[in-house]
Amino acid sequence: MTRVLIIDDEAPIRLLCRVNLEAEGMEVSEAADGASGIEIARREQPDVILLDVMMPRLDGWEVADALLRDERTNEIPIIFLTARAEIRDRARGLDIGGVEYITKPFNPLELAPLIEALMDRISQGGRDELRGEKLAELRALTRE
Amino acid sequence: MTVSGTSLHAQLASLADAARSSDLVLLILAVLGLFLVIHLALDVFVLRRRRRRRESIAQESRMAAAADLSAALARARDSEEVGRVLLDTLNELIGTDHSGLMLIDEGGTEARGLIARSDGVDLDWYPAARVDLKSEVSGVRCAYETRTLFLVENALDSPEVNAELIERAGLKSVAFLPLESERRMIGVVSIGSTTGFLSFTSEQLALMNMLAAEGTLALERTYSLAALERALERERLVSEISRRVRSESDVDRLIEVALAETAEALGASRCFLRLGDPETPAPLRLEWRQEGLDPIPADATPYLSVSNLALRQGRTAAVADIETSPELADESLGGREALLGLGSRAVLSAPIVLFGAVIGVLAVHAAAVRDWSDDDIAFIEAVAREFGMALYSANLLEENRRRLEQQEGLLAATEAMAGELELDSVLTRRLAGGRADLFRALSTRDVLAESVSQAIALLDADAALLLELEGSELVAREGSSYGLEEMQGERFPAAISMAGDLVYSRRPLVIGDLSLQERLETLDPIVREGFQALLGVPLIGSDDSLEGVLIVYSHAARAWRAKETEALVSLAANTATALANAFLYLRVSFEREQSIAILSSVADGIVAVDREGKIVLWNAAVERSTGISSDEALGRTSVEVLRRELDSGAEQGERSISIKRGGTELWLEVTEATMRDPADQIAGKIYTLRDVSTDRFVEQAKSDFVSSVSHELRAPLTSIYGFAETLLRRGELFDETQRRTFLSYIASESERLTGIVDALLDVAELDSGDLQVELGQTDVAHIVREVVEVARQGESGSNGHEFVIDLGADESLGAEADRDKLRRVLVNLIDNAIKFSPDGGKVTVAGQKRPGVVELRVVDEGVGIPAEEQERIFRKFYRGSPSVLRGGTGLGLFISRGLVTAMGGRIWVNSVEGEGSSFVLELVSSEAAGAKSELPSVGE
Repeated sequence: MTRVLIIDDEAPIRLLCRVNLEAEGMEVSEAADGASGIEIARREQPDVILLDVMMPRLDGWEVADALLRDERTNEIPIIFLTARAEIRDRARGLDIGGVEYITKPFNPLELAPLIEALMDRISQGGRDELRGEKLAELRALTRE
Repeated sequence: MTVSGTSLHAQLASLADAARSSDLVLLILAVLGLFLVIHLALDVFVLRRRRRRRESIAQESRMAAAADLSAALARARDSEEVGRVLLDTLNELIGTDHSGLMLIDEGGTEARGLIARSDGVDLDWYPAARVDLKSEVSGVRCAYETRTLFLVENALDSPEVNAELIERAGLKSVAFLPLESERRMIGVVSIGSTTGFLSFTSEQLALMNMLAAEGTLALERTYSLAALERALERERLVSEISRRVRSESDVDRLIEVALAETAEALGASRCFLRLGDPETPAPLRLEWRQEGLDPIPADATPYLSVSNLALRQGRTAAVADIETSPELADESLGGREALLGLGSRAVLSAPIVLFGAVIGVLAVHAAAVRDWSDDDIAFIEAVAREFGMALYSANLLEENRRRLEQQEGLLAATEAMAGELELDSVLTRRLAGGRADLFRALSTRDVLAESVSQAIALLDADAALLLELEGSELVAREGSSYGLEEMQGERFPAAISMAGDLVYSRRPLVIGDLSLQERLETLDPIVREGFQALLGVPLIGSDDSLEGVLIVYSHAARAWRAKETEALVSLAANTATALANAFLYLRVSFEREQSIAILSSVADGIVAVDREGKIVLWNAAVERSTGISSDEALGRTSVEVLRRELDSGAEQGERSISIKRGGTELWLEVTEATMRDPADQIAGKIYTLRDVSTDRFVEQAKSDFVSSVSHELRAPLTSIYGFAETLLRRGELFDETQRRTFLSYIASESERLTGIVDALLDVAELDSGDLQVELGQTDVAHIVREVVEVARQGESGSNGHEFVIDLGADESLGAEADRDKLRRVLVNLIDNAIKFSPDGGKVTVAGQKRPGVVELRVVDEGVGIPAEEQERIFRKFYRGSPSVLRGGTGLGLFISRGLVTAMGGRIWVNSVEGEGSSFVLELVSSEAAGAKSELPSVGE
């Protein structure tokens, strides 16, 4: 069973993700801020983390950085979940080490399939390849 | 018969013996013999004395003749007159009927006829007569070579004389008399008879030698006079060129005229100017040539070997004969053929040097072989300097100091030239010496004072006065000695004053004895001071206009000499030039001051650096934006001062750089431009620095605002869209409670969305001034309770904040407000309090009445606000430092202040960093509003 950690300061978003992921049979834990998110990630070692960017105090970029620096959590794929829609933000997320970037608003029904596809890909050892693809996509966007 | 003392003694002895022997006959014979002897001896004595006396009379008459000649010669003005007096004297004293004078050139190659006198008239053919001293047989040559008198008794048959000249003059006997000065042979006098054969007594020969010596001295003197006149003439020419250099704006026209004048002064067939450095064949800039000559072809410059030589060596090249000069043997200079092909035979060429670098060359060509004299060389060098100045002035007029250096160079040349003169060079030297002082004076006042004192010294005059022409009046500007200094500012009508004559004629006014000039004496007030003689000259300005007059005075009657007048004219020319210079300097200084004033006052920062990158200008705007004073910056490089290189290496351009000012980063937009000197070398750079930090801040804030608004809109949309999609999932996944939760989120997030849109509209209204408030009696306490209750409900769970309402004893707080707007302000302040205080922190909303106002406070226990940010937080888009950043549009407090102000109230913050903040809201109380409108107070 896939275990997902949601780090977001907005309660409705956490609930939205939880109900939809649980409906697909995933196990979900929540954190309302960055610090507790890192704490839970270390403790529970989730399979994937959904991470909001705009949070008070520790923002998503800092949380991702902390997670990727920590060898206990640096293998956990991070999917950024944010309202920041600009290309440079998406590039920054991938640059830090995220593997996917979902822009709000999003269709919650598509969340679980996306996570599953991602997990398959990573279990086949395609993590870096995936990031490479995403970066290439971004470069193409930047050129447009 | 010889008689001696010894024989007389013997006679007397024999007489005594005879007496002793009493031989009477013998005694008588002896007495007779003695008498005879004594008589004879006396005779001899008298004869000797007579002869001696005769000799002395001849010598005296020779001395007298020489003295007469000397006096006559002293009156002679030129060499021709000297020759005439000398020859006539010789004819008269020696008793000859023909005499002629030939002058020998410096090189001793040729003798030229100057004048010949026959029977009291000039022989008209004689001045054209020539004798080649190298190859031709002649009596002149013989006297020249032996340096002694050469006598030919029978001239017709002599193989040692020039038969043609002898025949032409019809001479039977002739003597050739050399004229030798201390330096060299200057000429030969021929003196002879056309009627019979002559022989000269030693007396006549001695007389001839003595007269020749007198003649030689007189000729020497006229040479010196001629040299002095030439020097003065050239000094005037250089002054004239110098004057025009500083006034003529059309440099080509100026050079054209100067080339023609230089050629004329040197008797040249061509005169041209080439500009460029020695490495390349400097192209021809301008050429003057005699009529009938073809111009030098443009492609001929590599073959102008003498000027190439001057360019290469950086010093004057003087070639007397192109055909033979060894200097031109170096083929790389361009050979001899091209020059000969131009019809030239001799060339004089001086480099034009500016600030130590050769920038071109000036050259004159002569059609015949010619030995260039030191005068010629000094002259062309002076002209070349002036050309350098002209070119410099035409390009750049700001560095007076360097111009002075040029003037000092000219002084050195003029002094060298003056040194060449043996006689009476005082005037030239004084003039030249004074030039530098005149040009060193930087103000017109100094120039005038200098000019007046120089005028007195130049002519050993008693006083001097300089008057300036103003309309129809002459105004005394500067005077010296005998009370003339007191006359400054006095005005004289030009029409009647003596100086007025100068104004109208523009020619020197020469008065040697004022007592002979009754009219003037009464008219000119200056004359009342008791002066007897005056010499005045006009001051001609750069545009050929009359600027004033310079007059020197003498107490004693005085015969002003022509060269003194000329010297004063030269001084006046120098004065006019120096005045133009001083005016120019003044203008340049003024323009400089003006530029500095402009540069200081412009809003943009301006920094100028010299070619070494040292800062020479640092204006007030740069001082303001960087916080670095100009004292700290001047003389240092930008890297030393700003820790940034301003120079991009490009000629010009624009870019942005950031520098640190204290702890903050400053963004400067740098525009740079390069300044170049006349030689096209980089002279420095100018940078314009515009402080774009604020622009960048606004840009950044706008960009942040857009993404914030985007975020603020997307967050509620995510919930609304997400829960709607969730509710639409297939299958019965959620129970009734869950579905109600989802729907309540959709409702509340929709409200949030509405709130954001309202805020944006508020901002738009505040910006456009369209905000409308509906003021009315409002129970503030009621609204406070309402808003805090909503906030309390929104905050659930263990992280929830604690809310305290403290309204004191008053049950109601009546204020003049727009209820809806006040609610929005409070919601906003409480939201902020929650946002910036830790979980579980206390948020207090307090209210109380104060005189005329109702005061509300929203107090949190959060991070607080640094003092320097307490005003900034009310600005549009301002969202606090990143450490406390938490979403939001940065519009809340901006809108709050706008709304409160519209309601006639005030809002501000009291805060200590780390100890929380207290936002204070002041509204007009109902009582105060009622009193104001004189309406009865109505409670809610």
